[in-house]
Amino acid sequence: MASSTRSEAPGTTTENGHGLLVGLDVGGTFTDCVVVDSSGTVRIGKGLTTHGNYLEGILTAISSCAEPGSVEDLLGSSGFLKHGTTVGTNAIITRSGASVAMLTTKGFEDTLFIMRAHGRHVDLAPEEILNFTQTSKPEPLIPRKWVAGIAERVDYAGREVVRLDEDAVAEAAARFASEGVEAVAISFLWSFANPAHEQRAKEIVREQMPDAFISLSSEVAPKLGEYERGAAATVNAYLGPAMSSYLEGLRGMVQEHGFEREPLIVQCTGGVISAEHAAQEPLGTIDSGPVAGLVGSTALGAQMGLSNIVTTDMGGTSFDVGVITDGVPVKREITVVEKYECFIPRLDVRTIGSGGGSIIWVDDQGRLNSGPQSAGSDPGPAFLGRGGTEPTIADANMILGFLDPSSFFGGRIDVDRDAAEVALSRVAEQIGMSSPVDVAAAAVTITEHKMADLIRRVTIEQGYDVRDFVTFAYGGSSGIHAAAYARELGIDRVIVPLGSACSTWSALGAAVSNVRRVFDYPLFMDTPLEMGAIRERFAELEREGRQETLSEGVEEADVVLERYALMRHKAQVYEVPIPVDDELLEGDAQQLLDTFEERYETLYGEGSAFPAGGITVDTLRVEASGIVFRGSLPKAGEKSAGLAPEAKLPAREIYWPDLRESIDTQVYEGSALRYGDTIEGPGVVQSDETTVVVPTGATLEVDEFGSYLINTGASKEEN
Amino acid sequence: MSEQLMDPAREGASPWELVDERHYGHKFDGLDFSYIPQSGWRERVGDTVDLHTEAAEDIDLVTYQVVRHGLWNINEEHGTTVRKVSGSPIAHYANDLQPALLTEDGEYVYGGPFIQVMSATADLYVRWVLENYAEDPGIEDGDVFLADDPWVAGYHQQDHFVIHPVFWEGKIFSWVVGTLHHGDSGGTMPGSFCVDAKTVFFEPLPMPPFKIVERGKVRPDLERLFVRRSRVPDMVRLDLKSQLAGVHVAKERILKLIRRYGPDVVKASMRKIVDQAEDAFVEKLQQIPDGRWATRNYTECALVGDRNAYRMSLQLQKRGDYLIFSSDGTEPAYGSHNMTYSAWKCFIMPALNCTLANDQLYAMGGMLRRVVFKPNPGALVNALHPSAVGTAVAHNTVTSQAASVVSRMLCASETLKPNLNAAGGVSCGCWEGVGGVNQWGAPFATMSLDVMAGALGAMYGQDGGSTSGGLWNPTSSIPNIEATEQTYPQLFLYRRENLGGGAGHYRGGDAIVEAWIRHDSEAISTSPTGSGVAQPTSLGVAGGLPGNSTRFRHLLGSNVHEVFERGEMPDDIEQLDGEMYLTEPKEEPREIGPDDVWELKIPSGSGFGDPLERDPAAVARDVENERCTADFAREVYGVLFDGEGAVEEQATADQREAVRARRLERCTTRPEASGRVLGADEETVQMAEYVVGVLSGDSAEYACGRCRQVLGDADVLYKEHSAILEAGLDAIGPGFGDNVDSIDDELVWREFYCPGCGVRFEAELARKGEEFVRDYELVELTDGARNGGASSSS
Repeated sequence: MASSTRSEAPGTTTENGHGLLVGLDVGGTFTDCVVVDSSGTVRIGKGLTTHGNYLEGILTAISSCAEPGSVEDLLGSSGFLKHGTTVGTNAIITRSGASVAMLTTKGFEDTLFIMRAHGRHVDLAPEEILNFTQTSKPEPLIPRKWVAGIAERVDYAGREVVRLDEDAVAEAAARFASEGVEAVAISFLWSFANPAHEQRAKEIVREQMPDAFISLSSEVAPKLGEYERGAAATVNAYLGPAMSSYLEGLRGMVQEHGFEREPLIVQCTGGVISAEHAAQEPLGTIDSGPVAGLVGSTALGAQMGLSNIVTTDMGGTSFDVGVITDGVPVKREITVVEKYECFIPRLDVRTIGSGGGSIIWVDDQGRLNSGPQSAGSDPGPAFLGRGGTEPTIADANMILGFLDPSSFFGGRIDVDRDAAEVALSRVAEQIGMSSPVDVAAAAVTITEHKMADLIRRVTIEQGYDVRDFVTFAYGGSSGIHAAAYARELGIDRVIVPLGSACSTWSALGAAVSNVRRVFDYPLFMDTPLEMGAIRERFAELEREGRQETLSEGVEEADVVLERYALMRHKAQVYEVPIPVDDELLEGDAQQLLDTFEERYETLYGEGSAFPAGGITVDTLRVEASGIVFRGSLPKAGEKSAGLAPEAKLPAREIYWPDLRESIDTQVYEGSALRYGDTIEGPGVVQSDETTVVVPTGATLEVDEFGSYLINTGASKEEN
Repeated sequence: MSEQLMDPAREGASPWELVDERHYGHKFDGLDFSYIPQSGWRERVGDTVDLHTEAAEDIDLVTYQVVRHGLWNINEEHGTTVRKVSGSPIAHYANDLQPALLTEDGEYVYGGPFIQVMSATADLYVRWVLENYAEDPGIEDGDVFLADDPWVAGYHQQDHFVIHPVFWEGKIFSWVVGTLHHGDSGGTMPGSFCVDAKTVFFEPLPMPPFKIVERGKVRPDLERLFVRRSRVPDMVRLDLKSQLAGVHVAKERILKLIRRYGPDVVKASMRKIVDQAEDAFVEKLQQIPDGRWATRNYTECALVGDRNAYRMSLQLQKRGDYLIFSSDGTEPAYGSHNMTYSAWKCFIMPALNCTLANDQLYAMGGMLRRVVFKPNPGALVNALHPSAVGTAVAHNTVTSQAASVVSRMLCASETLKPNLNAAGGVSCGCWEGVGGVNQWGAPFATMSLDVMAGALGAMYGQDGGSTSGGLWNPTSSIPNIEATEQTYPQLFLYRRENLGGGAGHYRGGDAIVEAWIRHDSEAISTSPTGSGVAQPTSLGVAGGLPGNSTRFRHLLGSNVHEVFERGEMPDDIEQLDGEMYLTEPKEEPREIGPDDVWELKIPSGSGFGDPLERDPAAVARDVENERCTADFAREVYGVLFDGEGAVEEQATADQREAVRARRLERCTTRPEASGRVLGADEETVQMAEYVVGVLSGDSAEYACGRCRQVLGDADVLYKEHSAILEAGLDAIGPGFGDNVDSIDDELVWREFYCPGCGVRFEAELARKGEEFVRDYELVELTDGARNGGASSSS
């Protein structure tokens, strides 16, 4: 197959005056490049991901975007280059990170091994939890012999109880140096309240190990909780050397090809920071790919006037769900890295193992299941003929007729439809069904219900009714299933952003991301709150936030600061971030407490607040953004007068699981659809990388931004 | 007794006759003895209440899978709702809650992934309500019953159940039941673990089900009555609210499912979930030979000041397609450490859930059709009213026992052996109430949640996970040290893995040890509520060694602050000067002075198999990862290393031979080895890890599975043919026996070896002079060879 492709999606203009915006996203199979230019178009390029050396695939994707021009022309006229990378994630999964050692408070050397006693079951699916013989804690990132306990102690108020044993630090560092340690994590108890011991220890280690990557827990994650803070420092140290060299390579490559500024790296906080800073805090790049799609959805949603959105991204192996409420993506404080929980605020994306590559199988009781095991892209679905013999959801979609064997990936990949049929027939026989089509329909229906269950769960967790949401569907496989799972939930609107180019949505999300960094101050102030002290601390955080954001190359006028107070009932465990606007900041303490109570009850249910035990402000936070994308997505101009003749492709026989029958179904060419075009279901819109399904009773309309709006016809009352 | 009463032990008797109250001279009605629904209860109830029983005859595969997942999600959402609304540390860290979804007549469709001890008990509450209230006061749409009576169901009064019928068109369609541990329910001690309780009247008053919600409306008078008995009434009110929110959500979602798919289809799906789980369980039982397995433990100090140990025995019988648990030989209830029949069942269940039903997504109803729990009215594990039953100090030992007997049973099944999990996971109470004045001058009281950092017992083929919770609470968690110090006036000196996991071919996991001092407080006290202090409670399987015992230590008037001044951080209580007091298992609250140090060590997981069988490379990793010392490796594992830490193979082989020879020399009973060795082609029956049976005509013999030397006739227990070491508890290893002075009983440790090759078959704990535990008996070998395979029971 060709290793790159290029297409144009209608309609974006930018008003940022910074030149072209380049977004790069390295996925498991494809590397996507999206360029947003000032004339209102989005250019899209793709290359195969080159495992081992990602830079090759990146260059291919950029050059396919630049055609017919050169990479130098493109990068030379680019203002910002933003990159979502999986280098960090992969280094963890393959355990190919640095040799890390740790200094921690003597007596607490096992904290990273104890994992708060829940390391076995973190992130396990419910059906795995009782399988004690099949589940265990992860392999340690640090061998026990390289965890050195240092005599020192600080108490809850930040007071020194035992002075730092500097000799012990020097001794440990000398041993680490002689044993080939490359990176050192330093995590002492209560260091976020008083970082002096960590900072001094760093100086001593630096003397002994001038080239080592050193990560302080008080810098990486200044929050209460020695396990999650120490894990953050450890993972950061583990990734540090590899990330530094990767980002150096990236910077060298793009600068060699004419890009004059510093590349920006996507963070799981939903923003970008300079490659230089990202190399110091590589932890922030973990899971940044799925987050970028959520950022793009927030931006597009804002312009469409949508404030409650569920984002769904179905790729080859997983189904990722994010939630935007009142125009703001839902966040969480913890990132889980191979079962290690690390403090790092991030946009919350939940995942289940339901992707196109999910395997369809029969359990011991003769029940049909799909996933979580996946055939991924290697060997992939049976129809790819790369050695996969087990049927996948993609095989089911092929047999049902949703995927077109003759034009799969634009006809660049040969498809062996028979192989899919053989694989599904085997399951049919196992389960006593009459045909592979029945198995395919059953598996697709079961999978769509599982997806609906996940969406329902994440919206309920936010205290919302899922029927009040619209669904964004992107990624290679979402378009086939989105209308079905939305209907199941009583959601009547599905938006496929970029239409047929929705598989590159994460790269677009990267392109429109703003600079964003998070600054925390651990306050631990109980009621009665002293607003004066709170205002003072916020002012300090804002100063720091502004300064650091400017250092990313952002203009003064483009700096935006948002304040949050992370609050909790003392007798309860859940911490809730409360946005503190100017009015709340200048108001009295009661206003802040009332706002907290109201938000708490929205999240946890009416009457769930327990103020009798007192309320505490754990953390003050400033999120500092540097706005580098002020793009608006204007109307595409003239409405289409009607479907272009080339938009209609020959009809084909498709088996519709919801109707339980085959229908001769009209097929449309995605790249030929224009603003205003409308399609009545049943119909299928296909393009090189994506298929979008419009079931009977649903309609699809191309909107002014080039997105597909699907009205699912779901009735809220029935759900 | 009625004339028709059958002997449940007779050939061909249904195992369910074992729960017929007429055999026992007690009414099983939840008043004097625990509630056990008696044969015919369902028919009797049928006349007084409309139950929805119609189910579609056939449901298509897709609908079934969709409804099945839907029901699962409903139940999980029920649990999640309780956690969210309550927001309490108990719900959040300890996950001490469990939702359940049941059929119209109280058969489990689903339990949840929370505390596993609550997976055979909601059915009892539903059936009790049906039996007792259907006529008067009646069961109406919108009613919710609240209850915490351990003689009806549940395991202690701190766990409150809400029981909610789901009606469809005027008939009871199903039930949703939720339970949550509340912070304090009254009684003599804050937190309601009343170690001084001589009877239940010292403890929270047990409340049989009453209608807290009538036709959708909360009864404010009863709510007030309920919260009044607690020291923290507002928190209890919120906990109750979270539970009502949970059952409400579950009911609404079930009704939605019914409207979507029709009642008959939903009901048919429920039935099929249970039927399939039953089929799967039976299929597993068919891979296990009929037989009997047993274990024996002790729990000590029934009250503050008591110096006795109390025997707890557990037997498991596998008979055809049934399992039967019994507690014959367990000593009578006394003092504060007892449990009810329901509690005993509750704590057996986790060992089954995790080994034989872990593929059924918490659909425990199917398994419960095939498991019989034989009552033993009056025993400390089956206490009569009004025994004290709230402290839950011996309860976890039942899970530990169940894990042992199930593991022994699975040794006889080649296919299921990889599922076994030896005893571990906090195998006895080691609770620690802490209270006093906090750093802001306000009073406080709490239970240490660090005791949730239990360790798993060894498995077959892998070591038990360290600090990984336990079978009874698979999703537990502990707070950060900083979270504890932020909230309470304590400063911890250390919290680390305690290296107490039992040695074995596969090692038990390590739990934690921690120590703290009072910090920024004028007064703080702690009240130990434990067991397993004088003796171990997680006993190994197949020659694996026990995990460490519980230990509470109080160092009075230490020099800890001087040591701090010197710039040192003590990471072992023994590094400090002061007066060391080894605390008794149960004591009145102990004041912690300004210079005192308090240390808690919780029990670890036990080992599986003889340590000399452990892969030397694994022992090398243990030493490198500081899981054991080189000395321990040499003496217990028989592994020697060179200067670089690499295994010296020949020296190791020699050392292992030497250790085996030394074992036999030390034995107090040493029969002559038969000298007869089985031929390579002689067929054997696997009974235990290292013991096999050989059938020949109408007789059977035991042989060592390792050296294949014949041990002797299977007429008697294999232990009678073994070389036996009987010694004090210190023979188990370092630390064991340190606190035997807490009790007056003389407990001994016995190890059973092959007299030929010295492999350790098994070990047991006993009072001096007590008979051997009949830990393995296969019907095929003991009865079958002589009477053609007919089995006897109990």
